[in-house]
Amino acid sequence: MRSRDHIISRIRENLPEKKDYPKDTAFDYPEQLLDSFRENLITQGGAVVERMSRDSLIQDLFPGAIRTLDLRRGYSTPDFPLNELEVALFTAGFGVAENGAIWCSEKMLWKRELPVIAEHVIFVLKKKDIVGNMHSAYERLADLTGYGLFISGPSKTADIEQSLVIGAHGPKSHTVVLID
Amino acid sequence: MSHPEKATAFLKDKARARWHDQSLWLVRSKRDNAATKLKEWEDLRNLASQIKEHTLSHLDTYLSRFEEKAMENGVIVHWAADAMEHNRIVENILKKHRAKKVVKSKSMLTEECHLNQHLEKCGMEVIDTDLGERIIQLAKEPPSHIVMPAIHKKREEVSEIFHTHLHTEKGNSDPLYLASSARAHLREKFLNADAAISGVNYAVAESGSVVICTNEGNADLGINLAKVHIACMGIEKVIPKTKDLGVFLRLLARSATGQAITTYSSHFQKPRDGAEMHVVIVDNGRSDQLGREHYHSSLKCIRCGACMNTCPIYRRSGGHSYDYTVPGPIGAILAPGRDMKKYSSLPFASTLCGSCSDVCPVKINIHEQLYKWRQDIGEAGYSGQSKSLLMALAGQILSSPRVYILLGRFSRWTLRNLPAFLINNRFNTWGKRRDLPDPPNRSFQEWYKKRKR
Repeated sequence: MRSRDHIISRIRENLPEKKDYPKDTAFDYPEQLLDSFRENLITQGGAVVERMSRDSLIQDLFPGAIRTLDLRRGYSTPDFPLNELEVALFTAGFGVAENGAIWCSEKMLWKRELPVIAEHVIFVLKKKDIVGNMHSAYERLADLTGYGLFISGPSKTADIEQSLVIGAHGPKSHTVVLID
Repeated sequence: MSHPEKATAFLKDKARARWHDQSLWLVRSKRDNAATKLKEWEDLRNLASQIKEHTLSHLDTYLSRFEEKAMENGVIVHWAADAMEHNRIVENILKKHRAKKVVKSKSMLTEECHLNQHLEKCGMEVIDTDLGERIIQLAKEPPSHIVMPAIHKKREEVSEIFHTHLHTEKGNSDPLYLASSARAHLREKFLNADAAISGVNYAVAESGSVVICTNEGNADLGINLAKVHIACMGIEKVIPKTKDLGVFLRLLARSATGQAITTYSSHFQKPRDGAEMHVVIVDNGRSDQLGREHYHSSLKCIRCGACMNTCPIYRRSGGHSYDYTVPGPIGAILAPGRDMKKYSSLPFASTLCGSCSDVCPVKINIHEQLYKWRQDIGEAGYSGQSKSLLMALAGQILSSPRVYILLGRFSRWTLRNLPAFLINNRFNTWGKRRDLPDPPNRSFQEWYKKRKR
């Protein structure tokens, strides 16, 4: 008997008493979506910038950065190995007020490692694209695509004596640019 | 060695034990801050518990659906009845791809199966990329906590470990310096890995996707840079729908570390072009636990570690005292299911205060299961000779009013008249760290009789 069949039959023999799937519950979310989003993102170590214009974002936020990529323009061949990527700029799918996270879908990543391999990341987010909580977020995510992730701040760890260090393996900074 | 013996050794260094206690309690209080901010916290716990209970009672259906959907997405699904089979499956996938260098993100399941040791015997290099896991890997120790594996290590010790293995400056224990050194060291491993192994936080049946949550981003970096991804999961990790993630992702990080969400919550649905994605579904005793009427709900566990952070015993004895992959209260109700004799001391390493049940995001009645295990262990004869004798003796005394009264009088006389060094003998384990109370002149019965007149 294949392991699969063996495991499934063992499970069937041992199933606990049937319990129903719970009824849907509606939850409240923060009233001031923008304020909550800002506050929660900053708590997670991220930065928030408000801008009117979407131009020259990388140069303004990281003057002097040489190895940069603006992912909004789609695929482009960088003339440096991705491991040396200093700043990457993306469009956020949407934001979540209750935790300051943004959704980053595969659709804007011509390489999946881009949002984590870069030394610094910037996400451009429209203010109207902020939802209240994770329930609203999943309602919005009808199609998950091959790979997608919520990112709520720079890479971090507290594994050395509970001391918070920003920039564990991934980005050392995470900036969300809020536009109208 | 039993838990009490290991705990005694841990407590010998009083200052260190106090530091460990305070560190864990700090994490517990962060959890409290996060939980109290959400007025719907209890509703979320109820929902999560119900979703998990429903899933466990239909586990065969959901696992089959998950497999079906994953395969439609081009994911290769394997099933392993036990640890040995799991290890062999992973070995074979790696050998097929001639993989020699492997990076691994946190997976308690692979710890349970001792995967690293198995692969190393096959001549492969396995690097644990979570910083805490890497520290203990270099120190050749098992993790002492499921979320913060190196919580028992001070920065000076990490500095020594890194100096020896990563050639960092001797004596430099600045966490930023140490973490930066680890970043450079591990980045090189990520870039050169042939394969990436990961755990699974949630396996979504509806879509066949696998969700992995980290603060470091090590899972994403490892998986997205390697040509082969092997995700290892226990059968209990499956959840029905994508929208259920809304409930679990709101509870997980808040319960674990007090954050609203982990830095990265990554959804892997399809392998990228040119790469392979595998999922290994593992039983290894879980279907047995499923069939245990009083203990099956321990399979609801989402591995947040909140029970460990709050447990006064765990905080003051450390994860290594449990000698099981998953320590603390949840470990104490999972381990006896695997080997009741070997882990018989674990359910007794508890004051039954119930704090674990209070903080559990999926409402596992941990303290009740601890109590039930004690009864089962007692009945099986594994509670140790001294306990069995004491229980038998207590039974005799308490069932005879005359003996009880006489013994009471004798005890009060002894406490009043015998010198301390005779009372604090080696049979008096209660008195090892505590002063016994001042004895009253009369028993309650004597006082009550006089009062009535």
